[in-house]
Amino acid sequence: MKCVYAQELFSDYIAQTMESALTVSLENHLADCAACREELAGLRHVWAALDQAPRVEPPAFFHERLMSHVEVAQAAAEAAARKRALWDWRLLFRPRALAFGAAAAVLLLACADAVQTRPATLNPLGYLIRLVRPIPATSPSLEAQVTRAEWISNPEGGGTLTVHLKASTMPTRAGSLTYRAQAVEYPQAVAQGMLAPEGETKVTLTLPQTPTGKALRLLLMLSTAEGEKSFQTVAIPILAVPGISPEDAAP
Amino acid sequence: MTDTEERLLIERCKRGERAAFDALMRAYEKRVYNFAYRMCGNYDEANDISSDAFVRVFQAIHLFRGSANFSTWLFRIVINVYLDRRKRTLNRQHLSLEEYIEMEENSLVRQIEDTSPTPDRIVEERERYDLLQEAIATLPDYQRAMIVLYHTEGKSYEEIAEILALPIGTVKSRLNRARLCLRAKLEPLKEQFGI
Repeated sequence: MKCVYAQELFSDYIAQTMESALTVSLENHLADCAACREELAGLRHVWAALDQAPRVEPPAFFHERLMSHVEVAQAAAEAAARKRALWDWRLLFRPRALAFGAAAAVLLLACADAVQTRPATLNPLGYLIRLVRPIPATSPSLEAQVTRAEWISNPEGGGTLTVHLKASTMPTRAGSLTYRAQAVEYPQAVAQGMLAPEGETKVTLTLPQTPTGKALRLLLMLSTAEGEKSFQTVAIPILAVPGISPEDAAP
Repeated sequence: MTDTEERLLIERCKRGERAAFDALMRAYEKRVYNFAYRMCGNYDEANDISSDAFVRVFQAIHLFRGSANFSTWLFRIVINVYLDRRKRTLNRQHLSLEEYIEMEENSLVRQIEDTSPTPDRIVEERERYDLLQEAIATLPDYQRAMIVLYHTEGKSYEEIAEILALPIGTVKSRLNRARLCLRAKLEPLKEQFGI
């Protein structure tokens, strides 16, 4: 056995983890090689010194300083994570974020109906709602006015409200103009038809009861064949409606 | 602490219980500090390495699957912290032992002079182990880690192989080479060292 190979076996020999045949072979070599015997003896001393080396004691308050360091580092990491979260688009797809997003969308859609009847404005809410639920393009040139109204009571209750509509502006392009009218206080009272380009158009609404209060509000939607639309709310003073007695009108 | 107790403690740490992490740290902090010191040879740096290692443990404990021993995982983190720091700093361990001792001689004497009076035997032993530490400090990183893990931490070849992510045959041969290297480095000081 050569010295180089013998020295590779020294650790296993000292730890007594070598196969017996190899042990015998090494011991035969050691018997004939003083250099390797000296090397092995020196290695045993180093091995013992390494095993006996005392543990180094940490300084005072080591544990407290460690915990403090961990807590400071963790607080910094959490702050950085919160800051990153503002810009991390993937967090928008977490279940909780998706749930909140869905709830917000439902709320916006529910509000959309309430503001859709108003004329287009530049207010932020209106802009936001249009992003969620696009309102058909409105045309400022489509507008009608109520010239007069009449009420005819039905002996069995309720009655018929006849409203005379006149287009105050004409569509930008020639074409038919349709209307849809709905009584705000009586949503089931709906009428729709063609609006005469000139003169007045009679609109008849059947109401379940005699209107009361100061005014009867009418929602009007005008639209052209090309898809232009306009929305307006018209308030009809009840006292001005023939057929409704002052006693019926609310104070 | 038994294996079961440790396992339960780790589960509590994963749930974010600070008290559990505090207890886990107390169980290992001295060993970590000692290992860090043996690796870097400096008390302050050992402090920093220990702190950084436990921060990593705290932040990554939810990733510990339990397939390996916790101490194996922990010491792997400590070594990684040490190696990361070493990349960023100049390494004095590249000096030969003679140059290193010459540079450190004054500070070594100052250390001894600054302590309260002790029996000569204790001074001799301190010098002996200081010289041993200085010799260990001259070893390459992986050999140094193996020496400390085997002789100070009592890790087996298999555990060392797992910690350092090396084949067991490589661990055995490098450890043997490291011991022979230490023996050669301490040869000029054999009178003090008894070799």
